[in-house]
Amino acid sequence: MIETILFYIFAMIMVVSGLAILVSTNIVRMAYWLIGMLLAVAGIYFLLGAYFLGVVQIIVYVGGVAVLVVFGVMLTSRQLASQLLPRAWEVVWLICVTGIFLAGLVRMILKGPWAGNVKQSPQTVAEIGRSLLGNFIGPFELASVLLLVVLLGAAYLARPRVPTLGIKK
Amino acid sequence: MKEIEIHAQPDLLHEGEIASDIRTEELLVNMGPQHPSTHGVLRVVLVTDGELILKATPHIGYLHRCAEKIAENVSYRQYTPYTDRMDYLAAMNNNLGFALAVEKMGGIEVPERAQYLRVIFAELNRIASHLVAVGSYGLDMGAFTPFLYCFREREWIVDLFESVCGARLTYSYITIGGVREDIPEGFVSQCKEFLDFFEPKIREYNDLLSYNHIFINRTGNVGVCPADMAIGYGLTGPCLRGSGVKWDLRKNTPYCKYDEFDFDVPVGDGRFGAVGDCWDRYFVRVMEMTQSVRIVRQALERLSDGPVSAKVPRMLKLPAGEIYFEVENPRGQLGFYIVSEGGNSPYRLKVRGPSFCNLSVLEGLAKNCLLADIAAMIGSLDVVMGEVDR
Amino acid sequence: MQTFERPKIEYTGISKTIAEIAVVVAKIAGPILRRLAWFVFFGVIIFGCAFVWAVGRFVNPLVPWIVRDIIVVAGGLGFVSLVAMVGIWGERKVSGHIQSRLGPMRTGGWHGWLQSLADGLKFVQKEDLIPASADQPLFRLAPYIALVPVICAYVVIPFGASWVFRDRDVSLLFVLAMLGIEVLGVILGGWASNSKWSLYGAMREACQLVSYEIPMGLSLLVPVMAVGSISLVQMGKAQSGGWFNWLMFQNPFLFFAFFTYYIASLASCKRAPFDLPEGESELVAGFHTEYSGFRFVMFFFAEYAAMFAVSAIATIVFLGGWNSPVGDATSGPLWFVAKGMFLVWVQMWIRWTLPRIRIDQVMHACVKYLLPFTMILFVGSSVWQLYGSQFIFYTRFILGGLGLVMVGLFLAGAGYGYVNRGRLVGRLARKHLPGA
Repeated sequence: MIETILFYIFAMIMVVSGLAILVSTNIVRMAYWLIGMLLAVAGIYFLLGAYFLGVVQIIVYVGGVAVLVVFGVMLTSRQLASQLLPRAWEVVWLICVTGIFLAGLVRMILKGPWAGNVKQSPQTVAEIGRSLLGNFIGPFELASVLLLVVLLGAAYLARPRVPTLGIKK
Repeated sequence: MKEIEIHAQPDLLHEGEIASDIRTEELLVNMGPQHPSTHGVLRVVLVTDGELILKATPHIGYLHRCAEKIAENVSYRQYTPYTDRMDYLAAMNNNLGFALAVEKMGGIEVPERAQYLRVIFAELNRIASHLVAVGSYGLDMGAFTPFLYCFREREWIVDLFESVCGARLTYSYITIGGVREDIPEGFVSQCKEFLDFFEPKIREYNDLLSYNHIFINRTGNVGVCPADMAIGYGLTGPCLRGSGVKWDLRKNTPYCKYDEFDFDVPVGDGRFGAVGDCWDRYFVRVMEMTQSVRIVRQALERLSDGPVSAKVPRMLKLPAGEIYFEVENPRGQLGFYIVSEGGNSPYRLKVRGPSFCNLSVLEGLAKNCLLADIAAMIGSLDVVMGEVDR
Repeated sequence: MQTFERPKIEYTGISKTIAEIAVVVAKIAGPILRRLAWFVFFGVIIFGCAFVWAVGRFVNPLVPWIVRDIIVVAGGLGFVSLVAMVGIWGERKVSGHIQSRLGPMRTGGWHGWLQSLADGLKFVQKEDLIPASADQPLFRLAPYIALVPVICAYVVIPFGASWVFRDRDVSLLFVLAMLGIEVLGVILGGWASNSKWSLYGAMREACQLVSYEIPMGLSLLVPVMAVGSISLVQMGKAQSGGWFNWLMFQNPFLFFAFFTYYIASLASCKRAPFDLPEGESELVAGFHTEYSGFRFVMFFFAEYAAMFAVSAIATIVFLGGWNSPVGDATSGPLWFVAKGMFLVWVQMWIRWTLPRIRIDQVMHACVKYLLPFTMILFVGSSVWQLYGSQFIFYTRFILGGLGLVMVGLFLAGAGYGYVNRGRLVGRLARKHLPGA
């Protein structure tokens, strides 16, 4: 009973935040609606009993990705605001494409075989740890190698270069 | 505001295009007249590129009170309180400079007791002024506690001054001809008590602030002013001595019985960075406090009986001519240039304020430093705006 | 204490008699009430605690869980407010005594213990100033984003073996997550003020907070490996017995992990020496320059609540949480709060002693020194656990002895300072006045 209410609350926050991201014209406000949406998703994970996933969602998405987005947005917010409103002909084909996509998603959600057997265990962290180092060790190591490559690439791209002052073309 | 694009060196990944999307502009930032870390009403206009400072321009004049023009309208003895208010943290030394200049021009002989009293009070005021400099420098760096310790010690000195002349900040005690009043009973013993209490405190300040690793990182190798640059910009006082130049007017051109005293002149030695960084200038001030304590002890020994002032007429007339006399202020060389036409007041009185010349080096020091370093530099130069603007 | 003189008003008739009776009653009851104020205040607190305990003990099975939860949440919020109030008062007293002065002395009588309440009331009735060019909704939102996650972190912090609101598997990670959301509130506060100075402070602070989350997390992973669970309650339970069972003394890597965690938590709370974002002399007040009145109080509140939260994590994970050092008889929330407040006091001590570190030096310290060191601790601790099992039993006594020696040195230093307080730093120089 209470879970249903909470689910509807989190879902409402998610949907409203998502719509607000689309509707808003101020890019910084968009970033913060995004944060609201990510927190609502974390709330849904908590409702499902996937506590570890919810906490990781907050740490990685809200505390990492969203902070990165907010940084980027705040340093460039004054330039891009005017380019975000779509023009008339763009709206038409956008509605078509998103309508088709939305129809497919809704059908998949309503008709798909989602009622599966989810193992509810109080020791979620231990289970995840065992499967990460057991069945899924391949993807786990690959993901860490990928992260290492990303770190190296970012450090290379952001290295200090000797600037030569040039005249604006 | 000109927009400058930074083009990278040509590279495999054609970074020229990428860099041109993220334009970096020069930001004009105003460290306004009201600011916690500019010592007084100083406006520094900074041209920054992100955190890096490209140019720093000090704008002064916010405390200008026409002190030099006023001198043309008041008599010499009436001008002494105006000298107090120029460098209000070292008022005794300002009084001393003016009194010595006028006495030299007028040929007035100062009695011996007055001369030793002058030395005592000038050196005590040097200690008080350096305490403010050291304490507020710690405050700028974020160390809140040494500030209060220095002011606690300063309270004692200021109470000693109050017992003598009734004022805590602007004394007008050292007047033309001698000092205004004799010291009260018990002053000598209280002064000795203060010196005994104070000397170990300097070791405490060194433990707490000077040799603190974080403080050394903030001030070492920051704002390096080599000796030739210091002399070129006209720096004097602890700023010059911090750059390694051993020049002190009390030793080089002694006045007022300073040649009878035995003291050292501390000089910056580049212990934690290049010679002439902020730490050196700061540490010279700390060491000068020790030397001032020595001088005061010797002066207290030599204090003899006698009158404390020569007889000076109320409307003092100085012979026609001009004189330039410099004394060693806690902040540098304070000079008085008096042009007299033989009347009651000078025809022109010009004051060479040491903080004015010290502040001019800020522009030269502030190339390619960080925003946090500007506060470190202004604090190490120890400017008092009353003296810069007069 | 100053008395407030009411302006004299002339009454006539019935009002006159009422006024006279009122004056007499006030004259008699005033001093009694002032004495009683102490008892009333503490009585309310004690009664509240007793009520909560009674509810927990007797009413618990009879009442729907929602009522229990509401009471516990109210109690938790009350505790957080109390912690913030005591923290602010403590900061002023600690800073005063370190700086050889007294701090608040008047408000409420004994050493100004009601000063934070008076400050709160003062802030509440201030004018609500919002800069005209600031982004209005975001400006209003920022203090809440800073404050709410920190209070949420208290949901999983156990004050005792069963004194926890919700005991989850992932409680340690949850607290870290909540402390990570605070970054966004600070950035928003700086940006929404629409002032270059605030923005500088916000950007620097975000860099610092995000960077120091890594050594913080890594230092916390070391005891997690030692205990084998991320649940705070499990970690607390694993340290019962005596002070040598505390996780800090189990192996030398854990010993150093405590200090690296403490340093990283100082940076995450924006406390000196890492307080560039807020107290920088050249940024006036950093990201909360433009905030006044109650919005400023919320940032302040968030800071002190976060201070206690990270100290609470440090005590549970390293210092044994609610377990008393000498056996289990007195274990409970009192020990937990005492240890947490001790760590908060050390945070204040460090703040008033050390100067501020520049932002590039802060990042250097994190990436060049703290991060490699925590990684070495992590690897070393895992190697120790795999191969060093025969040392494990004795190490705790050696390191425990070392801890005892440290405590002894601390007490000796404090005793020396107290005995020589006339001669040393703390003396108020009052006796030198001429003629005194």
